[in-house]
Amino acid sequence: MKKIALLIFMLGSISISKAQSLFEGTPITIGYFGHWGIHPGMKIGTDLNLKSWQKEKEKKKITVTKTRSLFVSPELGFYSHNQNHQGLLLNVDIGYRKIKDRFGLYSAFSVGIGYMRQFNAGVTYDAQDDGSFKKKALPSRGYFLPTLNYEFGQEINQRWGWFGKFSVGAKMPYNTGVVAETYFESGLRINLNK
Amino acid sequence: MRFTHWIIASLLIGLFACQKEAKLETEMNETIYLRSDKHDMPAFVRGNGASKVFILVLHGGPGGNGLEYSFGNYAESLESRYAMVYWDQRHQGNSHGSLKDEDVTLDKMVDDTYNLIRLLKERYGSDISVFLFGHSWGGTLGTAFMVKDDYQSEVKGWIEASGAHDIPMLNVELVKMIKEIAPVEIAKGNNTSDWQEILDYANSLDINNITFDQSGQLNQYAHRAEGYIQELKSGSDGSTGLVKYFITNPSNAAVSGLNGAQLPQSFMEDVENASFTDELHKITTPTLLQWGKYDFVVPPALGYSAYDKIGTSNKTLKIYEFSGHSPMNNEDEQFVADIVDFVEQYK
Repeated sequence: MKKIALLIFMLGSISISKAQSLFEGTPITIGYFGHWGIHPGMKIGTDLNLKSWQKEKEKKKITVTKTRSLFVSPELGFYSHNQNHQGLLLNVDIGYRKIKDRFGLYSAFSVGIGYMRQFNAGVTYDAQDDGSFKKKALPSRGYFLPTLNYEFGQEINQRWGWFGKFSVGAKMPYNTGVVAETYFESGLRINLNK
Repeated sequence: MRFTHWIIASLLIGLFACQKEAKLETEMNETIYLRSDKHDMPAFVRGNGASKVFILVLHGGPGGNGLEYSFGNYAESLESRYAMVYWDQRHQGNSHGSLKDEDVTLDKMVDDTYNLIRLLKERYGSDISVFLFGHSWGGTLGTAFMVKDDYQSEVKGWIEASGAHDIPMLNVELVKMIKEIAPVEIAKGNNTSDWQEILDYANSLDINNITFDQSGQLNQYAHRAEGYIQELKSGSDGSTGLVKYFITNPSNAAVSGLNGAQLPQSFMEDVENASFTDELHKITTPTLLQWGKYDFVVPPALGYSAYDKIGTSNKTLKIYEFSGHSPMNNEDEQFVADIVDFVEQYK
């Protein structure tokens, strides 16, 4: 297993040094999305590079190139929190990414704005003024969900990459205040044009 | 396009899969939501529904959540016999919606309790027996329910465990309890500096005029004091319970914690003045009172007072000699046995 991982790393580093970046064009991202990695869900999105620039540094007689970029990522996610709710999230992140020349490793910080539709699990009964109860179809509520995100990953080659992402969001207005939501994402970045 | 289809299909399956008709099974495990004032409150129904006995749990706090009470041996034992309903009260746990401060009142929560009981009967059958179980703050809410109008006719019995049905009395009795027990513990050499600090604070208070802030400080000292009592039996909600709470629990702990912490100040101040001692005579429904001898958070004096004043002769007070604020964990076997005796007698 370690050998395979090392091979992927090496192949990745060779490809990256020769090819254009995975982030050029409009790669799609697809992967797991949910609370804490234990609730099922998935998310799909894309990356749009707004601006990229490179910096070179000499380190021990080797020139190291770092690529930096500003990007915007529209995404659509869905997850199920067992016996609690299903969440549908539409969000747009705007962020800053740093890619290292060697191995194509990168990290990114972004802020996002999102709209979350929270569907109740189970059956929801609406208490009526006359004392009866009415079963609600597709009971849900909408929340504004700005997020702070940290992402890390690797360009394996110009076509494939992987990533992990942590998000902390403020779900509002929630009752009389705001509550925090934490999400974890992990998946692949695929450039279909390469 | 396929992904969009997958998402929509998953959403619809998830939403409709659980909307089957209610069945009274021996191992129920389902979520229902009560919507009131455009506010959605989850109730997690677990256990032996075939028994046709439903115990509605009123959680503590204010600011706790229902599923906190689903861990530990006592919950497992009760679920094997009866259906337990772990409900998140308004603006607490995973209850959600958009509320104004004026929507968060004790009276509204009493009405929510009433609606939920009627909903349980609508969903699971009018022939089910509902018992109300309130712990700590749940004792405040449960007592408020029992004395309002004819609401108590909806339940077969009222179980108050360490219930805070009179907060001003609670504060006074807590100061008395500290003054009584702290010197004994200091004399025994147990945590002397800590006990001295608590005793000094108790001595500094004017028990006829305990303020909101002082009450909060007293509550913190009460929890600390309980931790210094060596007679308590160890709890049954240890690390496994915590793992279950954070990992497999349907409740979202982060949301629940923040939700409860943001209860409106106006509500918290009203709670501080909640006192139902003068109305306890209205309770004519069979009642079981359960208190830990070393409950500093809600001293057992409140249990004795309630036993004297509740207006039914079908009442029992159980004091657990090796328990604090949560006798369901300290002495779970006896705690459950007493509930079972009570339920079997009045179901």
